[in-house]
Amino acid sequence: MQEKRTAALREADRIQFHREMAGQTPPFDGETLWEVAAALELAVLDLEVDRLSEDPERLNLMRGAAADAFRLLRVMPRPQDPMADGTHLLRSATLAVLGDRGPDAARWLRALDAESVWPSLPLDSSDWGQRSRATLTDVWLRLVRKQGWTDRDTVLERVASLRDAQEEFERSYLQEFEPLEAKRSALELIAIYHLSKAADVLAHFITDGVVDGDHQVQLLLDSHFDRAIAACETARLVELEPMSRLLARAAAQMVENSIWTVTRAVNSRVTEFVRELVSRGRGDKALFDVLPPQRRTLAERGLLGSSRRAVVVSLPTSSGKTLIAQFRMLQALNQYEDRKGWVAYLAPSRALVNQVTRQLRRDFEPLGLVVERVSPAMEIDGIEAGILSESSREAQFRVLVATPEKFDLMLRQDWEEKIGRPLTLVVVDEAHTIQDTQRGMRLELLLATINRECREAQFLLLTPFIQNAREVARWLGGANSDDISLGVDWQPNDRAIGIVSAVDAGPLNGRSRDYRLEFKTVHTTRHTIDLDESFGLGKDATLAATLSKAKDMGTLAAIAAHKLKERGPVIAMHSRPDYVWKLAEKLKSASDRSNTLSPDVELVRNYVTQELGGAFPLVDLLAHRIGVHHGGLPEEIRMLMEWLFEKGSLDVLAATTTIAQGVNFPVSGVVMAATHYPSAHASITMPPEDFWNIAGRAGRVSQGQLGVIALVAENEQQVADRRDFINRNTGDLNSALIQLAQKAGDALDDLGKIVYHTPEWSSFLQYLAHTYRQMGEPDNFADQIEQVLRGTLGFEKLRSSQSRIAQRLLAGIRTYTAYLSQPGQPLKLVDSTGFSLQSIKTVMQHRGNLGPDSWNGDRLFRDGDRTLQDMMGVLLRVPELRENLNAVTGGQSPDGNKLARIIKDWVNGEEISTIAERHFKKEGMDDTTALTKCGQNLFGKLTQTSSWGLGALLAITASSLPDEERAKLANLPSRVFYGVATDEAIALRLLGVPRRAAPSLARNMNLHRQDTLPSIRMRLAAMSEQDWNSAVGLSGGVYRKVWQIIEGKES
Amino acid sequence: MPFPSQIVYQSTHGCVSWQGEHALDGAALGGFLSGPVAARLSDTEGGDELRSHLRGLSLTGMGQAALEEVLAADVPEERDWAAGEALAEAVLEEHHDVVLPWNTERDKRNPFASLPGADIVGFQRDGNSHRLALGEVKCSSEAQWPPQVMSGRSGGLGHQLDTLAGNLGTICQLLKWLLPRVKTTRHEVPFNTACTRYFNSSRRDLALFGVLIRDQEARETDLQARGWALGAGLTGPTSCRLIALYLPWPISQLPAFIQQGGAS
Repeated sequence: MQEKRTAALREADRIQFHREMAGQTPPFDGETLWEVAAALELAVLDLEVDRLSEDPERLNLMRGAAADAFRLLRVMPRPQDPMADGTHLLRSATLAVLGDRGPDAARWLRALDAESVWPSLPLDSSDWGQRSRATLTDVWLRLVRKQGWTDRDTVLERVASLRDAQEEFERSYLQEFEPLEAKRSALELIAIYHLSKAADVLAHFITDGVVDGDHQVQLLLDSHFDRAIAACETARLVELEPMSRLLARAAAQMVENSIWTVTRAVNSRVTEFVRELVSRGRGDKALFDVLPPQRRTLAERGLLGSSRRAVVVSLPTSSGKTLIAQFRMLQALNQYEDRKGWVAYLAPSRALVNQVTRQLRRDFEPLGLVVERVSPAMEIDGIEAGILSESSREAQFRVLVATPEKFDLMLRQDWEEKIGRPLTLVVVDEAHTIQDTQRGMRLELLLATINRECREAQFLLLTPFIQNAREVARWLGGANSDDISLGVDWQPNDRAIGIVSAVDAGPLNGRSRDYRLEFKTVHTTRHTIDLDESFGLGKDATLAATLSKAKDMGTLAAIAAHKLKERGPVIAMHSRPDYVWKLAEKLKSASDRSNTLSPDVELVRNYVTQELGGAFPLVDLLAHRIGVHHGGLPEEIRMLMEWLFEKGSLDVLAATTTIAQGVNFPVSGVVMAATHYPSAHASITMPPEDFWNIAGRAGRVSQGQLGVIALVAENEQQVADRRDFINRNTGDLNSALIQLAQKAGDALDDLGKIVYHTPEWSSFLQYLAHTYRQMGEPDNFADQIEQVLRGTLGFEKLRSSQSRIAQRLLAGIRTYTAYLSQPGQPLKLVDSTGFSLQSIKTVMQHRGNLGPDSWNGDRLFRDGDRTLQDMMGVLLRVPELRENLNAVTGGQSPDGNKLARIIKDWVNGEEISTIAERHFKKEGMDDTTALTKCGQNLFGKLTQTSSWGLGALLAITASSLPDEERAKLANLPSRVFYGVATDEAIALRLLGVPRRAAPSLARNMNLHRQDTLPSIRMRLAAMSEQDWNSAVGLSGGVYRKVWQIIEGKES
Repeated sequence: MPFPSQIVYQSTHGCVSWQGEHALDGAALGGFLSGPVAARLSDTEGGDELRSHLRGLSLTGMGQAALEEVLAADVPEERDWAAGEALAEAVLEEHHDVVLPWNTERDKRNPFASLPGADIVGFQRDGNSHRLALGEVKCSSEAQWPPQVMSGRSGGLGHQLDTLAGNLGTICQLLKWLLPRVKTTRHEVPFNTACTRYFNSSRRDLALFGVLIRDQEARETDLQARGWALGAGLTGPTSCRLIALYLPWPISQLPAFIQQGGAS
C-alpha cells in the first residue's frame, strides 16, 4: 500500500503540474487515485487522536494521511451533480484541515469561487431535505475557505435562513415519506440542524473568540456534534455519519488554529492586537487562523507562555515569522509596561527596515504603540537623537527598527542609557546573517554585547531552518533558552524546482536546428514536485529562431519567463545589472505593449520619468508590464518595483540575484539565469538560505497553487552544476569568526595589522576595545579575555574544533590588549565612530588641517571649497571605508577630489542623470549604463560609506568642541546620506519623502529645526495634492502618491 | 446450531458458485428460527427512544413540532424482508464463516435494519485471516424461475452484486461507517485485515453473497443465468456465492415462525 500511496501522490503531482502549467488535465488512472484516497481517509478516521492524550507519532501519521488524501482528492475530476460536488469538496477540504493543509484548501476553494466554478448548491430548493443538505455543505465549505468577513457573515445568514424557512417547508417534506422513512429523514434533519448550529458557533468564534460569553467553544461544539452523530447512528446514515465525524474533528482543528485559541490568556495587549487582526475593518484581509508553524510555535511550544531569555525560531520561509515576533514583542512590552520598556527589531537591510517598520506601524499604531526606525546612516543625527530621547510618554517609541550596524553604534554611544528605559527584547530578523563573512561578525558581537550589558534584554532570533538552533539559543540564553525549529515538514504550497534547457528538435532549414525548451524537475530534500518526464515549454521564434540562438543564458531565461508569466507574475534573475537590462529588453521584444495600463503603473512611469528622464528604458519597459530591480536604481524606484509586482501590476520583474534576499512577497514563478551574487572580487554562490527564501515565496499568487522555480542551463555541465546547487543543504549556523580565523593564518599574531588587509576584523577589534572600556579598563583584562570571548558564538566552537587556531587567536588578542591598554589611547572614539583603533589613529595621523573649523555647513559642500576633498582624502585611507570609496572612483588611485565633487552634486540637489553624465559616463557609454553605474556607486556605496566616514571624522576632528556644539554639526554627514542640503529636508527624507521633493517641500512647509519628527509626520499626512503641487510643481501629486506608497499609507 | 437443509443443486463458474438448499421442516428448523434467526430480529426502538434525539434541539434554535410528530408516529409492521434478511444472515454466519460485527444488541433494536448500499456487511473468516463479506438478500414467492428480483437494472440481485464488486464509493462509505463500530471491539483486527486485503488486491479480495429466499419449487434456473453472468465479469481473488434457500412454507409466514419457532 505504501508503494501505491507514493505512486498515487506522484501521479497527483503530475496532474497538478500539468493542470497549472498547461491548463489541462493529462489522462490518468482515476480509479487508483480514488482507491488510495479512500484508504487514506479510512486511516485518518482510524487514527483519531484523543484530544487529552499526547501521541505525537499517531498525530503525525494521521496528519500525513489526511494531507495526502487531500492532495489526491484535489486533482480528481469533480462530480457533475452539484450536491455530490459539494460533498466531494467538503470531504477534501476537511481532510486538508486535518492534514494541516487548511491554507491550501482555503486557497483552492477561493480559486473555485473566483473561476465561477463554485458548486451551485440548491440552497433555495423547495425540497427541504435538499435545501438543508445544501446549506450544511455550503456553510462548512465557507468555514474552511474563510474569505474574510464575507464568508463568516454568509454562514450566519444561511443558518438563520434555515431556521426561518423550517416551518414553511419541513412538514410537507416529511409527509412525503412512508412512516419509517419519514423517521429516518427526521433524524437526518436533526443531525443537519446540529451540524449547522455547530457551523454557526464556529463562525462566531473565529471573529469574536467567544460564543455567548463562553470561551470554551470546544465543549459547545462537541455537544452539537455528539447529538448529530447520535442521530446519524440511529438512522443508519451511512454517508452523513462519517462526514459528521470528519467535520467534528476538522472543527476541533479549526478551533486549535484560531488566532484566539493560540493567544488566549496571554495579556490584554495581545488580545487587543488579535481583535485588531480579525477586525471587520480588514474585510477579506482579516486574519482568523494562524498557520500551522505559527500554531506550533505559539501554542504547542508555548512561546508566549515562556519567559525564556533567548528563543530561536527556525522555520521555513513563508511560515509567518513576523506575526510570531509581533506576539512576542507585545508580550515583552507588556512585561515592562510600568517602565516603558522598548523592543529593538534588527533587520539586515534598509529595504527590510522600511518594510518591517511599515508593517509594525500599521499593526501596532492602533494599540497606541509608537514604532520608529533609525536610518542605516552610521551616525545619529540631531533629528534621530530627537526621536530617541523623546520624553513625552505618549510619543515615546516602544519599538525601534534598525540595521545591526546602526544599532551597534547606538549602543556603544550609550544610547540605551540616554533613552533611559530598559531594552526588553531584541528581535533579530534573518539571524542567519551571523555567518555572513562581511557583516556577520558585527551582528554576533552586537548580540554578545547586548547580552553582557543590557540586563533586561531577551532575544528572539528568527532564521530560516537551521540545524543547530538549540546551540544558537543556548549561546545567548544558556539554560534559560529554547529553540523552536520546524524543518521541512511544512510548506505553504506546492512547488516544482527544475532546470530549463534547450533541446534539439531536428533540422530547421539549411544548417540550422530547431529547438524546444524543456523543464525537468529536480528531486530535492524538501517536498517539491518531481516528475518522471520533462515538461515542454515550446519555443519562441521572436526571441530565438534556432537552437544555436537559444543557447544563451539571457535568451533562455527570457523565453522561460515569457512562458511562465502566462500563469502569473514572474521574477527573472540574472547576476549583473547590465545583464538584467538586456534580459528585460529581450522580454520586451517578445511581449506587446499593454494597451490598458493600470493607474499604478502609470504613476510609477511618471515618477521614473521625473527622476531619470522619459528616455530611461524603464519607462517603456513598464508599458510592457516589465519591471527592473537592481542596485543601480534609486531605492525609491526599487521599492516601487516591488510594490507594483506585489500588486500584480507587472508580469515580469527582471532583477539581480540579490533580490533573493529581500523578497518577502509571493511570486508565481522564478527564473534564474545565474545562481551567484556579483562581487568585486569573485562571484559568491547564493547561499542555500537565500535560494530557499525565494523558492519558498514561489506560489500562492492569484489562482495558482504551484510555485515554479526554473534554473536555466546552457549545456550539460551547467545542468549538473544547477542540480548540485539546488541540492546543497542548509546546515548549521556558524560564526563568521571561525571562518575568518581559519583564513587569517599567521596574521592572527598581529591583530593590529590585520585590519589593514582584512577590514572584516574591524568589528572584532572594536568589540575588544569596547569591552575593555566598558569593564573600566582593568589591569588584568588579558586574564579575563577568555571569559569575554565566551560570550561569542564563535570562540567556544573554535576552541573545541580547532584548538590550535584558538590558541593563536588568544595569543594575538593578548598582544592587542597590551596595545589597547597603553595610556592615552582614544578608546572612546572607537565606540563613537565604528572604526577600529588602528583606523582612528590613521585618521589622526593624516588629518592635516582638518579641525573643528572645517565643519562649516555653508562652505563644506560649496563648489571650489577644498575641505571636503581633503576629508575624502583622509577617509580613503581608512580600511573600513577604502574599498567602497575606491570602487566609486574607478579604483586605480585614490581620488578624493572626484569623490568630493560627486558628493557636492548629490547634496546640492543635482539630478541623478546629471551626476551620471558628469561623473560616471565614459566614452562610448550609453546613458542607461552610465545611470546604472552611477546608481550602483552612489546608492550602493558612496552615500552610506561617506556619511559614515564623515560622521566619524567629525567625532575625531571636532572632539575638542563641547557636546552641544558638536551636536549641531551632526546633521552634516546626514546631508550626504540623504542627498539634501538642509536639516529640514533631512527630516523629510527621514520620513520617506523622495529626494527631489524634499527641499522644496521643506521650504513650502516652512519647517524649522526644532520641529519634532512626529509633528512633521502629522503635517505631511494632512497635506493635500494641491499642497504638494504648490511645493514641488506639477508632479507634486505623483510625489505625494509615491511618498504614501513608500510609507505604506497608500489608499 | 446448523441450518437443517439439503443441497438440491450446486455449480461453479469461475469464481462464482451457486447452490440451492431445501430447508428441512421440523424441530431443527424451528430451533434454528427461534434461535440464531430470532436473535437477529428483536423489538424495534419505540417512538419514545427516537424522540430522545429531540433533546438538545432547542439549542440549535430550530423548531421541533413537525419532527416530533414524525418520530412519535406508529410504524406499521413490515417485517417480511427484515425476517428474510435475518434468516440469510444466520445461515451465512453458521455455514459460510461470515462474521457480522455491527449487529449488536443495540443495533437490533433499530427500526432501520438494513443499510443503504448493502444488506450484508461483514467479514469472512479465511484461515487466520479475514476478508470483506458483502451481500444482498431477496425474497420472492413468484412462480417464475428465475423470479424477477434476480434481474432488473437497478434493483435486481445480479446488478446489485455487480455494483458491490465494482463500486469503490459504496464499499468505502460502508467501511467508513463500519470503522467506529468495530473500533476497540474484537472485530477491529478482522476489519483491519479485511481492509488491507481489499486495498492491496486492487479491490478484488472480497467475498460476495447473494441470498434468494424462496417458497417455490427448487430449480437451478433461479440462479444459473445470474451465476454465469457474474462469473463472466468477476475474477479471483473475488469470490461470489449465490444461495437459494427454499422454504417449505410461504415466506409470509416467516416472521411468525421465527417468533414461535417453526411451523408446528
